[in-house]
Amino acid sequence: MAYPGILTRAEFATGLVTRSIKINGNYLLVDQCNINQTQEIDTDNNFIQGGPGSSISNIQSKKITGSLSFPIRVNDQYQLEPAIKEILNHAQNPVEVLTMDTNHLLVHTQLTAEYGGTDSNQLLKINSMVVSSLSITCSQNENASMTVNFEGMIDSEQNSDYAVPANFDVLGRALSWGDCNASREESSMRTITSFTLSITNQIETPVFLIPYQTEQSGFASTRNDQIQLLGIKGVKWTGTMTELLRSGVELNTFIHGGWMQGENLTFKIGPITANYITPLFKISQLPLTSSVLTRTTEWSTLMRPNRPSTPNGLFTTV
Amino acid sequence: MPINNNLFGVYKSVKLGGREVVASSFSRNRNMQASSINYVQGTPKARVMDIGTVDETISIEAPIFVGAGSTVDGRNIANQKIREILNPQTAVLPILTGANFSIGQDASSVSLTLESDGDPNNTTAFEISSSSIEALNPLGTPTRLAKFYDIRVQIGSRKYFVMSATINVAATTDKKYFFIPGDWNDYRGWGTLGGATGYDVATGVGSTNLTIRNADGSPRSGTGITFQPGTQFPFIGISGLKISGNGKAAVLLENLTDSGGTGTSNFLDSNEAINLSLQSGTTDMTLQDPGVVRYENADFRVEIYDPIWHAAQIAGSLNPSAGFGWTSLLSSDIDTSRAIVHTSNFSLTPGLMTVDFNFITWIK
Repeated sequence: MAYPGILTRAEFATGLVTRSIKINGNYLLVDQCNINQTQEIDTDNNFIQGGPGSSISNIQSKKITGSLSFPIRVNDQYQLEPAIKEILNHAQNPVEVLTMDTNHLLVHTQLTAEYGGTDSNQLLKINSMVVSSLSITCSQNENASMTVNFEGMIDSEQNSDYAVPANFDVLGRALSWGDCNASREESSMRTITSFTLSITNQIETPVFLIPYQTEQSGFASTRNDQIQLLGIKGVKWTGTMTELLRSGVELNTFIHGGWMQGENLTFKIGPITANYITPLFKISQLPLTSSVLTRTTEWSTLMRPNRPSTPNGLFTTV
Repeated sequence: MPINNNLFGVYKSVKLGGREVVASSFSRNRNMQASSINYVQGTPKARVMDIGTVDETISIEAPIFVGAGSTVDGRNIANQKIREILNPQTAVLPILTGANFSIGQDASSVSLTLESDGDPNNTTAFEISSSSIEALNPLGTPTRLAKFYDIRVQIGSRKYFVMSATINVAATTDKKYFFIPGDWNDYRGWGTLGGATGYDVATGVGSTNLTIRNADGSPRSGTGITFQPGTQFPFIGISGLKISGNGKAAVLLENLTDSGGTGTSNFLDSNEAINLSLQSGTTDMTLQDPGVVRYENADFRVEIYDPIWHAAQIAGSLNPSAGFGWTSLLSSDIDTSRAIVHTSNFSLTPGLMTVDFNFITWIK
């Protein structure tokens, strides 16, 4: 008797046999893509109804949300992957949306409340995504990597292009600690052991009642349960770093907090340069342990109010 | 103590005037005016009572549903009661005194206040039972809460980026009390003749209800001609109806290139503001001119998608048979297309800029 079930003849999908993704049309090798269409769907039985059974559904708006994590890679010309450039430039200058193509992300654009279940699934281009947060991390024992959180929606139905890679985009290597450098005006920062550079964009995804349209106006009132727009109402550039301490307590590199005008706190990750011109430091934290002493310093940056509205405010790439 | 679910309201259902209603809360309040009065009586002790009339009010907080449950939701009962006010011959207790339709992005509901006469013999004004609401059986058509994608609006010039709206339907009622007709010889009072003790029961025979008769002795026809003389329960009349409301909308301000070819950083050019009037010569409110009545140049509309299919379906069947479409959130018996906006409060914060506005409608 044959073994019951599909194990005898199945080829399971894995991340190795499924193509990766494309950002703004550029192929990107990712460690993980956990971006999905999400919607709060639950029942609501808080009514006087003649019994305790859940008989009323509560279906909210839906949107695209999730995260990408990937190594920061360069090709044999030491050029950054184009998709990473697109993400960096968008994150620091969030004035236009990003697009994403995948081979695995199915979505449904009709009203969930009226077309529930399995029909009309589509493999669509996610054509309106914004970065809600981005962080670049590197340490002496790990490669440089980037984690990006997104929010978005399907603005119009476009088929995904199946994310076929170009050879140029795939050949390359991940940047490592040996590709990194850091400095600031008052220190060459030779004892740094890790850093994380972050951008946080505060996203609003409101929904509104449907505008009334008459037949005479030539427009129908289109019903859609997606969020209706993406708004960014706050931008914050932050970071954290750890430094080894040499004996002698490092009297003149301890940061006791506050802003440092023109300090130009700079990190280089291969062809990427991050420059915090006026960092606003928190007080450095130094726990005493039996191991090597490690000091952690966090900061955010002060910037002109409209700085995120123009390109290259924080990151520049070669 | 063993399990006892009889203490919980979710196991109960309610009918108002014979109609099922699903709600998140009901309250029925009865009050008889009573106080003691002191006269020049030689003692400060309460020896005389002033016992007045009876009031009964019913308050409901009910959701707005889409699907089969739309036949038992707050909107349905509110519009039924509005129709009764407009056509008093069909009215049954309780009578609507106020309905507040609250329309939001995440949930919409109706708060109702109704008035009855407090008569304990009236068992249909407010009925409570253990019957399950069959309209909520998902084997027919499932029910869900109405959301932003079910409701469309046009409140004056405001139809884009509207976040919420509230419509208040206020009815004015008047309560009157009359002396007992002089030739009334039957039992006087509210209870069953001879069926109670502890209070003064007159002897005699006959009904507790009086039917008004014409001069020739024939009984009058029509409604409201039967009542109980000698009770504290009022005659309730409907003397007014008005509709007003308010809303909140996001404000969009956008610099556009003006006719001279250069953009400006203010928002005074045409089409640069939505839901706010910053351009010279435009107005947020329905301003008036001498000798002319001005109303908003767009019809007032608040509509819900497909709540009416169930009313037109085949009796006894839970399967929908009617079509889908937009219909007025309020009763179709009233026309509120003419409205004025009389308040515009602009709120500027780091988040969404909003404008709150108030409106009032004519009722045709």
